[in-house]
Amino acid sequence: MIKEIMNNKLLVFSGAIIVLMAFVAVFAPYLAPHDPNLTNLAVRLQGPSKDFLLGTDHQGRDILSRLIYGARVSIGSSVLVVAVTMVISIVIGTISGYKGGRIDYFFMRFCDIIMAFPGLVLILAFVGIMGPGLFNLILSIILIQWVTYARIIRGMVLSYKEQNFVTAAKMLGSSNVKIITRHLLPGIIPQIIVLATLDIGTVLLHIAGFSFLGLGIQPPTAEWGAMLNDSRQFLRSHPSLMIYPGMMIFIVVMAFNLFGDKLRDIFDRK
Amino acid sequence: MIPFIFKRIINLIPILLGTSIITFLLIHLVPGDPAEAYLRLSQIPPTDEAAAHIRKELGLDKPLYVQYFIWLLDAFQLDFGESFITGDPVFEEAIYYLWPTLQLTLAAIVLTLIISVPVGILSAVYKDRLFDQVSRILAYVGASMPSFWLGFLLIYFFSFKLGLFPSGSRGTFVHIVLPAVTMCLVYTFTFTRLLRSGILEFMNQPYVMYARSRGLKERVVIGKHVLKNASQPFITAFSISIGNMLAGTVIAENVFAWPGIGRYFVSAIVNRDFPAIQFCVLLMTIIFVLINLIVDIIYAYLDPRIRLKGDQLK
Amino acid sequence: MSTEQLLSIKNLNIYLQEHGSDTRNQIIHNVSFDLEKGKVLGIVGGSGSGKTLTSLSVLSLLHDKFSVTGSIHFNGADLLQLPERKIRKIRGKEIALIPQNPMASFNPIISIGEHMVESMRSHQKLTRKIAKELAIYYLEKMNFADPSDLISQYPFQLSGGMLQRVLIAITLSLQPSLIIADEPTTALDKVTEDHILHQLEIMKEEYDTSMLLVSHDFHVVSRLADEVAVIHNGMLVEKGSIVNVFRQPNHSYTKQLIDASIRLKREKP
Repeated sequence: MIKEIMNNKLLVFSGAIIVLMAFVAVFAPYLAPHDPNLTNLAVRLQGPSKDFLLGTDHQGRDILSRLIYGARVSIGSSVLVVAVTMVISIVIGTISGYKGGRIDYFFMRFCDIIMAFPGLVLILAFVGIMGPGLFNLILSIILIQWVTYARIIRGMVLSYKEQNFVTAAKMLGSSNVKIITRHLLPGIIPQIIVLATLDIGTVLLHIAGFSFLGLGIQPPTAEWGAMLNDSRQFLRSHPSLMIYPGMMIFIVVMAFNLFGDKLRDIFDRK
Repeated sequence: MIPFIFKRIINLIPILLGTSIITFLLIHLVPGDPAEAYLRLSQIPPTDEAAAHIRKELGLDKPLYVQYFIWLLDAFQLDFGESFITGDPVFEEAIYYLWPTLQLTLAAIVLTLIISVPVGILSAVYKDRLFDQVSRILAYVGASMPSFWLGFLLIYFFSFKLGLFPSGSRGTFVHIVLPAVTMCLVYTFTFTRLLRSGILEFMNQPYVMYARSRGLKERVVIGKHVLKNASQPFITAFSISIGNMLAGTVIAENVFAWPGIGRYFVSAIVNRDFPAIQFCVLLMTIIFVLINLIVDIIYAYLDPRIRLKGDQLK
Repeated sequence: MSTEQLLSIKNLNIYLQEHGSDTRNQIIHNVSFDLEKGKVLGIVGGSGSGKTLTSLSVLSLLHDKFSVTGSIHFNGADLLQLPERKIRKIRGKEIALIPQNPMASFNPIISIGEHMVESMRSHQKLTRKIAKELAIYYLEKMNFADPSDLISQYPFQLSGGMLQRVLIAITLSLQPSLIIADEPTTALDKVTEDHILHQLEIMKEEYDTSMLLVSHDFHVVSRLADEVAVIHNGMLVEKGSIVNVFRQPNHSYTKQLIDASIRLKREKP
């Protein structure tokens, strides 16, 4: 297994990027050379210098420091969203798939209705009703996303439930909780990990996109999507303002997508 | 075929009712009192009498289910309320922005198909060769690219540097190119991979070998026996993605100042214009449901197993 | 090489090399046999013996992870040396395959009639209308009750035995000089098997077609074949006239196969 992972260069490479970014996000206060929100109009829109390695933005804030702090918000909130979504989905998906019957029926009809909406539109609507802001955005994404994932997990549970050793455990009189935690969940956890990893990239894109539209993180908090929105007026004169944050989003999302894909390859081979 | 379409439309009714209930309930998620929110936005001092008056006017004093039926009845008469901001009927406002959005979405869909179908076929035919490798890398790039960043990059290079396309707003044909490319790129290469793996999967089917053994031309074998079957997972993914594409117009319209429903939606959210938000959701959902209906019909047309199952039920 | 031989396979070797793997496994070892015009040659072997691979290599239908050496002469030309363009003209028209597993051999979303029409039209200049009439004619020959209704039906609406008969009808419509029938009765019950074998017998008599009959069942082969070749683990272990081999099998594997088929026959009610 270890050897297999080491052999897979892309897995190691993308994993390294994720670890590095997580490190940056956690230790942002120690790594950032400046206060990300400190405005100084005297040094606005400067190019790279010894003092400001990547230059400054339209309010004279250090771009590098803002990128570093941005990792916190962007990655942190995506991981939070995915973690909460997965917990809810696992609980509801497992119950619905395992119990079947009426619970399952109502859950599936509910899914049909929620999934008749274009998901992102519904997230937009929730944010619109509750009001823009990071908390409301995170809440909205969770409220919509869990339905899709609970349905996928329900499907996994259903196909797993039919397998012999689960039936055997049932006949031997194991309790339902025991069957679920000892037999069902260990079997589907690898698939859920892959699902979650791939989803982090997608959620990060959503959060950055909403912040870009001004519906997520509010200024002056440093966040990559919001930084892109700030760069809009200076697109022609200072393209670097838009290159850096976009590049960060791109690299991180790519790393999570690659990592999830390669992980799936490994799990699939077993 | 006709019974299938009929059945499919009947199935839509509960779905549409469900979505209408959720859309209606959206407004009740508003923190605090919607009447007060209305007064604030209309810049009327929120006194108790004013609130009571407005509650009566908006029908907020009635039980929820009565409110829903009134709302539904009004909706059938195309009355979706007035914008809190402009005071005009939201239906008329939104419809005005609808056509540009449909235009953009259609352009993006057509562009996606024009690129992904041939590239998908070629990637399957030249499996593991250079062409396939490049398309694999592009799929990762496409799936990881934030579309708003892509939009900016396109504007910077193709508009500012090369001067080939305008950087925004709506007008002649050239105006639609960059926003459509922005919208479609994310999907194009994902679809390419889907089509490729579909083709490869079906290429090894016994009936493809049998088709070849009868001396059919390779063009017929691929086009008729492989592609028609391989297009089914592709069509399914496509119909799911249409929803995200519709929402994607919000970003593309914002980046390129395209005067469509997406921009209207965002400004409604920023201004907390609830009736407008509500109607935008409803409109986009109906478009989504209708496109899915069309896709389902195409799907059934391609697959006799689905089509004829409908016939047997009559 | 004598000119009466319709098909003559010499020193056929087939190798398997998986993509990205360096090792090459030999699957077929030095197989040679001839088929005279108008005769039926049975190729018998257990599953995995390589009999299907051998028969598919005649039509160059193997997956590209297989490589083939030796020679396969058909009507004087070496099929292994012919370009794909010329092979395509031979497939169906000169040498037709009746594939194993009729259920999987039809494209599920294409109608029975279209399967027949497209096959005929790829070798002859025919209007769709005439091709359709011909399709009905050949289906009638296979004793289908209502062929004009059948051609608009889809494979999932037919049983395995019906599909097998359609496969034979398609083969008839192409009027090939050589038929390769790969396990034509394996997927079928005994009654249908009998019926299909009967159809093949008629076809052989009526059109004087030569046939490679591939099967694991000696009993099936013995009904149709003039000669028989036994393949075991990719090697030709025995060949000769059906009567001789049946009476005096030289190789122990042949004996096993014959015993197995007799036992099966006895168990039949």
